[in-house]
Amino acid sequence: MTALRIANKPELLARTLTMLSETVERYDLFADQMEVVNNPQAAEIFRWLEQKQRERTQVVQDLSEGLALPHIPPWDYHWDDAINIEVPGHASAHYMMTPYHTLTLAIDVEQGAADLFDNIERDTELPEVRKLAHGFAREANAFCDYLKQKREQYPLPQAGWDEDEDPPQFLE
Amino acid sequence: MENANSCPSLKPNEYKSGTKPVWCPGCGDYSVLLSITKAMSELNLEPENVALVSGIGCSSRLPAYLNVYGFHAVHGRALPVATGLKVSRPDLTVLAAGGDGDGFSIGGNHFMHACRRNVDMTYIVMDNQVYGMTKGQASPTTDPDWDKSKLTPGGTKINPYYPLVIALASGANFIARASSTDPNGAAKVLVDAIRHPGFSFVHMLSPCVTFRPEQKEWKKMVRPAPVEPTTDAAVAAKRLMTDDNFFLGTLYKGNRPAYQPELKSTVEHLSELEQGFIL
Amino acid sequence: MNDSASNPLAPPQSKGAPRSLSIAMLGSGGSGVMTAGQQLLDAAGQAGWYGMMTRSSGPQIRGGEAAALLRLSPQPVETHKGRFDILLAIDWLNADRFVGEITLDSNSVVIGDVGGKVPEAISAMGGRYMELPLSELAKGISGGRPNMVALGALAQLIGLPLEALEKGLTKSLAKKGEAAIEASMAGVRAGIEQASAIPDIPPFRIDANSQRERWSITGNEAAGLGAIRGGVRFVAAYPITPGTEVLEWLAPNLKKVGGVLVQAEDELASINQLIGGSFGGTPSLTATSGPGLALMIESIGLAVASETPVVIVDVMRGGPSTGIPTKSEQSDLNIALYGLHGDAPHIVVAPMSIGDCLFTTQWATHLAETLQTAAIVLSDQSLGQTRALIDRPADIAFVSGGRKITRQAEDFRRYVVNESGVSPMSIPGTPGCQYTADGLEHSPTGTPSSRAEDHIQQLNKRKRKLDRFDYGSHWAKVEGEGDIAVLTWGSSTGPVSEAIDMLAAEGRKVRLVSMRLLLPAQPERLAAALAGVTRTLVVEQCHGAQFYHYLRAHYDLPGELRSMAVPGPLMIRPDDVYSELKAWEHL
Repeated sequence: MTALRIANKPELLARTLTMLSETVERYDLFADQMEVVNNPQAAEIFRWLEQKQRERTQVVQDLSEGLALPHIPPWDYHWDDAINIEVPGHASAHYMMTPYHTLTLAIDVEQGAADLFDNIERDTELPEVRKLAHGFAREANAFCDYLKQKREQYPLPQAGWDEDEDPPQFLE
Repeated sequence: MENANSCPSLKPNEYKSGTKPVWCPGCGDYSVLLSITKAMSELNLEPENVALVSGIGCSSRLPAYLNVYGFHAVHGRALPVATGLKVSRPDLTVLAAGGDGDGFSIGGNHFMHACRRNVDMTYIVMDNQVYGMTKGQASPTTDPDWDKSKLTPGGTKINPYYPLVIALASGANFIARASSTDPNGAAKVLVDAIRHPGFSFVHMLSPCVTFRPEQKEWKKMVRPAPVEPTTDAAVAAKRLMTDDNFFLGTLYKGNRPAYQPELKSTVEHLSELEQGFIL
Repeated sequence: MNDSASNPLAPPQSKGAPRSLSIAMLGSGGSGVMTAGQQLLDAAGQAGWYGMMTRSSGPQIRGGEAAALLRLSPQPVETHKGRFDILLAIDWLNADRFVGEITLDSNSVVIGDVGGKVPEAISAMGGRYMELPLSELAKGISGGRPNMVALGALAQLIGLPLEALEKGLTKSLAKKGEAAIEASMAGVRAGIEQASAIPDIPPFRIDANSQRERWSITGNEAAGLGAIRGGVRFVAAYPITPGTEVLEWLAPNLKKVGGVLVQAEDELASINQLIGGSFGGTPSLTATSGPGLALMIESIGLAVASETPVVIVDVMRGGPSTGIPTKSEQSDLNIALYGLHGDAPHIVVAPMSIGDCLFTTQWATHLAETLQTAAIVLSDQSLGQTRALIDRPADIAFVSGGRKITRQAEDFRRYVVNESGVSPMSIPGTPGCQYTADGLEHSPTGTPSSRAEDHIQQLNKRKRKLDRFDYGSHWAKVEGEGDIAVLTWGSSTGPVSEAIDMLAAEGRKVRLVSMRLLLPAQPERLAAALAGVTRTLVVEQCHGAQFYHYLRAHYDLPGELRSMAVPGPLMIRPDDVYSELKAWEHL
């Protein structure tokens, strides 16, 4: 929803909820993927991210209580699946990704979200939208900082982190 | 907010089966799976009234990951299975899906005839220009100089196949390209494809991170086609012949009626069929 | 040539076999022998006779030499005899190609047009030759044709009433109008008049006057009707000789019953379209011949693995490869039984007569639907393309044991492992029972699995459902008693059965076992049918003795075993089987 003018508070809530829910689903998928490819460390972080994201989604859900949110079709969201702005892109997962990569991915997502809400706050003339966007941006920035802090526990991946001596599998 | 007539009764996630995919993390097919669920949600389809048929290959694993009726058939034969299903059960929404090897090589003849027959269904080909399940051999859409397969040292030296051109020449009623790098845009294309009567062909670019890591660059090459869908096959022919394989969107929308025989009995009793045998 | 006095193994004239008349009509290039033969058969039916007619022809699309081979009788007949009573040729061009199919002796009558030259190979067989002015008489009639003159002459010779011919011609020429009917009848009358003037013709009379409802049907049409009676409403197919007529009959008739036939782009498409149709809950069938069956094999395996019912009618022709498309052979047995890769239990059945093509196809549909598997019906060209006069086949209704479900079910698992081996099959549209049918080995829910436990469970289940099913008495035709038996299947049943009747007339009892159900094998049933037998002759139309080897592989057979394996294109005749039995027995 980059650089979009928001019509009212329900629209901002609807868009934010879609964005957050999609992120929950993506972390869930990534956690599944990492379990399937036997990468428990990355899986664990994605599960944790999924849980965190679920809690944040619930907060927005509570804010929306009693409001009729509009349905916005998927193609009204301009997310690039190759990058991690607002929601994580499918292409970012790698079967040998390290915790450092995993958290970097989440940091990019949060940074993207924070930038988006900043833009909305800046561009809108509606006070209630401005207020809400401001809160969301602050929250995203805070979470982003928290993730950066968490990332410091993990070493920087060494060159060749994705080298696999075994060839891919034949399946069918 | 085009096409958003009502609030969908099921969320995209509710069209998933819960079976965890075996695809490589980072594979474009995850995004295609998401686009399909988004399209079904937008169209308010009931999962039990949808059937998705596939062949063999990475992308053909798709039906098992969805909560609709599915058929994971043999290599190259998704379209005939889907045809038999739709012709005998016109009440169902029928989708067929598979990869470039499945659809254009071993199943090439069926592709041509499915376009020609124009049964009301949507065929999604996830094109990554490589055979993933058998460890990375060249497919009909692989460039002639791609030399990474042991099977074709020095490259295939054969020009690739242009599926959209073939689809148009064979009579497909709807031709579009979408990309896994833009799942929301792909969802829109799929909604249009499913809604359009007759045979709809969606060429879905879906990079292979394992055998074609260079395809990560596709995200920089894809762009919306700067044109509106045409109903004129001659205009479409020129458009598709000069296409660089990276224009996204609906490129052709024909108005040929779909093939669907009427399934209505006109006899009271089967013995009426025997009249011709009686001397 | 074929003089019974000089050959001790030759059968006595017609003894034991149905009293019958065999007539061959030859002609080339638009002579209309097939039409005339068809008229003769119809008229015989109108007169209350039974009979059959086989078409034999050269490879040309148009203008080739052709033969209509008829056998007429007061009793039902299921096979041709080698010997012909009457050979009538409108012309003799290339007629010697039929020598192998038509045997004449000194009692046969050979009729040709005035001035014609009988080929050496035909005149050498003996028979009394006479000429009729077929072309000349036809020229004298406006719109007259020699084939109608020939038809009249033959009708007169065999005592077929004019009214019967008139009835048939009026019906078949109705679309061409009054003038065409009149021209044909004028030709017929001229032929009758001419033939009644022939002196010293031996009596070829058949006295039959049954008023029962009589059908004129080919095996291919009967298979089509059996399919519809069995519930088939979706057919996808690719044309192939000699199976196409099954489809030609089905296309308009399926439409009448709310079904549809789709002409597919090839056999790979047709079998897979069936799988799609059947997955949707519609009983589905295709008809093909050997080359088409070979192309379908991979996907028949898919039907077996995904437990999707499909029926494939293979109207067999001479093989291998393109082989002899217009002639019969029973040489697709191996591919039908063993062609599938992996362990893929399925059903193989074979009709044993033209009329039985109806029952067997209907039964195959019932078995496929009930057992959720693929059923192959092995018909052949001789059954499929021969037209017979038969009594109306009985209506048979099978109680379907198929477990198709159309309502939401608790704990639905498509491939659940149970005692019968037949799992519930939900039909798309049924809420809450969505599943993915899979040709990959799978768990009970249908999830792909390469685990040993899932593989053995599903293998056992797919075998068990076929093994535990009660096929009843339909598995075979078992007749007669005695310590010598003939074991056969499919179209070889007709000649074997008649040979046994010939021996019975001599006071020699021979048992007949003709197997309709070939897969799954029924060893206990066959052992019971052969109890007390010391010698068994195995008869089949196949060079490789495929049936004999199949029996050796799956059954314990008592006593001495002998194989009579004869390839096409010439049909096995009752006399051949008779001679084989006599040679073995020294009776």
